[in-house]
Amino acid sequence: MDTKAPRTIVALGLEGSANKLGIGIVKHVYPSGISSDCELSPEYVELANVRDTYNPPAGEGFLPRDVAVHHRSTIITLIRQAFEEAKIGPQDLDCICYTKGPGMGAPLQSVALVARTLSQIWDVPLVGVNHCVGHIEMGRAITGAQNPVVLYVSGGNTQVIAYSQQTYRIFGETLDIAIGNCLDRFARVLMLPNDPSPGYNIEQYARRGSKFIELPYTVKGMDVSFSGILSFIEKMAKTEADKYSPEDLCYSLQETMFAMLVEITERAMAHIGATEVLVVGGVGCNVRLQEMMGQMAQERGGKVFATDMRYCIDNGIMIAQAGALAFARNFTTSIEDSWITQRFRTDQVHVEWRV
Amino acid sequence: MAELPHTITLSIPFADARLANIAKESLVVDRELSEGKVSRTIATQDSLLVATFSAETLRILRVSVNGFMESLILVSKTLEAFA
Repeated sequence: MDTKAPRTIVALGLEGSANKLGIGIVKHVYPSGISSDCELSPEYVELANVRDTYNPPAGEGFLPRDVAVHHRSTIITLIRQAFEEAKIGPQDLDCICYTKGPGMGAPLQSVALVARTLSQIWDVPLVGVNHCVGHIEMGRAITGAQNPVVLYVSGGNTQVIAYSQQTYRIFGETLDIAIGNCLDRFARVLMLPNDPSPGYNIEQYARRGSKFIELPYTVKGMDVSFSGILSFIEKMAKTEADKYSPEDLCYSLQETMFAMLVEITERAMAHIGATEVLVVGGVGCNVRLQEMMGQMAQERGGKVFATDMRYCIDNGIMIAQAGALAFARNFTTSIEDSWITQRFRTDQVHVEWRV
Repeated sequence: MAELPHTITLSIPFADARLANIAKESLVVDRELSEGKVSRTIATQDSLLVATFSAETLRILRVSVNGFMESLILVSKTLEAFA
């Protein structure tokens, strides 16, 4: 049913699949209504985007249980803060979007419980969102990249994605651990602080490194593997600390792993004839990675699109963004179906808002 | 249920039947992790939320009830803050 009357959709987004708790509110404006047969590209108005991060002490990773405790104790204050920032009330909401997965069970469940309860209190429909699709839609909205190859790199995911026929298809991915997980764990070996993030601190060390140490380079077709590199460099850092400085180790680790990502991203671009790359996910704010991707894209006559920490690190507004697009196509999640799932692949989502 | 001998029933009062029902609907969605070893029913009686757990061992019963309490507290706080 096509109607030309202007329409707006205001969406609340709740994200807590890992150690960040993010609440965002987005407003989508469709000046001439929502057409049923075209790609949706509403005017994007950011109303709020607040976040609170749980950071364990240096040398330790975050455990699902502790993260869930953090989310439960912070979420109500953060939701209030988002509404204050947005200067709207619950009565203005059209939908409540929450992360259905993938992610850590207990933190996902904590956020989903609040989403379900708010949906019932305010009588506003729920929209379950795939976390990875949230990252992609946020990157597209902020950068304006039209049809890029997407490199999704974070603490839990490493995927090269291309869009085709209402699906974000995975061209290549990690065969074992995510790149961010590899960086985080190496930061623990070096006892780097987890604040603001272990990856950020590795990046600062890497800038001061200059001696390249050869590390295993593991590209398998379109896929990559990081666990062997991690074991290798962990052993080096522990047993040959006198030979290699932490700065050189960080530098070599970044250079090796990012080169692997450049290789598989370039191959995906060649396959589909794309010239644009969009980098999303927490590792996507690494300037060195953006630089290397940019160089490759430039050589192919294209460019790299990336966002800053507000949008590439897990946040609530990306969930609102993807959820509001699905909602515009009348997608909702009933309370009975609002369960969460630790495994939820990017290509399992029907991307109804694109053609 | 001979194989689930350990049982506990919790009755939680809410301000009214509507709030009790909201809590029930929110809590009933997530399944128990050790299905088969514990059975859980969540229902309402007017403004009362009634949760019954039957488990194979006392340890499983304790884990289930603890998890439920954590969720219940979060839902109650949400209701208190926004309802």
